[in-house]
Amino acid sequence: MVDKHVFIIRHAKSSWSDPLTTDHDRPLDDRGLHDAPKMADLLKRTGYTIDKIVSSSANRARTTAGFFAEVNGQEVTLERSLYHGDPEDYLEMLSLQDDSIHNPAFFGHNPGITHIANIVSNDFIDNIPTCGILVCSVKDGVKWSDIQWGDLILKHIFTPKQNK
Amino acid sequence: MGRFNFETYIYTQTEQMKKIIWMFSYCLIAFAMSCSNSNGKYSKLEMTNEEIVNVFVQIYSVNAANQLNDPAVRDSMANVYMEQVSRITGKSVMTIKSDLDKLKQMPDSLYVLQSAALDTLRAIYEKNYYKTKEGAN
Repeated sequence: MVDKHVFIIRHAKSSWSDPLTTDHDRPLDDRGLHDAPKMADLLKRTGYTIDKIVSSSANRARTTAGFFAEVNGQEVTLERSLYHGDPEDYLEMLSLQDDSIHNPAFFGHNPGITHIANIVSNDFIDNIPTCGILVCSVKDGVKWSDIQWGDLILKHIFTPKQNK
Repeated sequence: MGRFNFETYIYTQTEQMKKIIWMFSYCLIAFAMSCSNSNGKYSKLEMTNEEIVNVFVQIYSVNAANQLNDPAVRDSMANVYMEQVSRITGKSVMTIKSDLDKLKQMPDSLYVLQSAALDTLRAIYEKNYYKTKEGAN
């Protein structure tokens, strides 16, 4: 049986410099543009591959997802509900995946992602920083259509700070 | 060799002196501004921009809820709601109030963060609207 993983990734650091840009269209700042490709490489080097990428439609999330897509040779699927998505939205996205997909990645925002980190871990997690990656394994035999949070086991949290 | 022209010499020296005074004044102003930024009213915010946006989203929501209350209990309910905002955002009431006070002195940042909060509220509203609509169909 093939091991399944789920990656939940917060967008990299975004820019606040242009007051006329809407929140949805805010781009990554220099640090974000530096961190995102490095984190995509880190995940690949650690031995994880992504075979499906779903991103919030917000510019900062889809730009971050683009770097991971490039490293993994994937396309980015945009999903508006992940913009300010809560854990329920991510679970719904997961349940819609085809069973031929084994390692999907979802790109979104806080506070939703920190909330998910607290659901899948047994510890209190104060904050998932920008470009932080939650790596969860999926219990054997669970179909995406039946998935619940209890089927996910948090394996790693990677952050740009650890990757310096 | 050209003749020494005293008037030209004085003029050049005066112009140079003016430049030096301008440069010195500019540095002095920049220094004074940097001092006031580090110690005074523009002291650093404790929360990140994302955290402040989240606080604004919660505050706007509870403000709207408080408008439904009887005017006689609005002030006391505001305190109750503030505690809830603190619980939801994971930031102490003191931190929230302190950062919001600092932001009042930073109108440009305040505008950007409030706009982001309104965009967020709009997105949440749209999402919930479509969810409700799908549920009804």
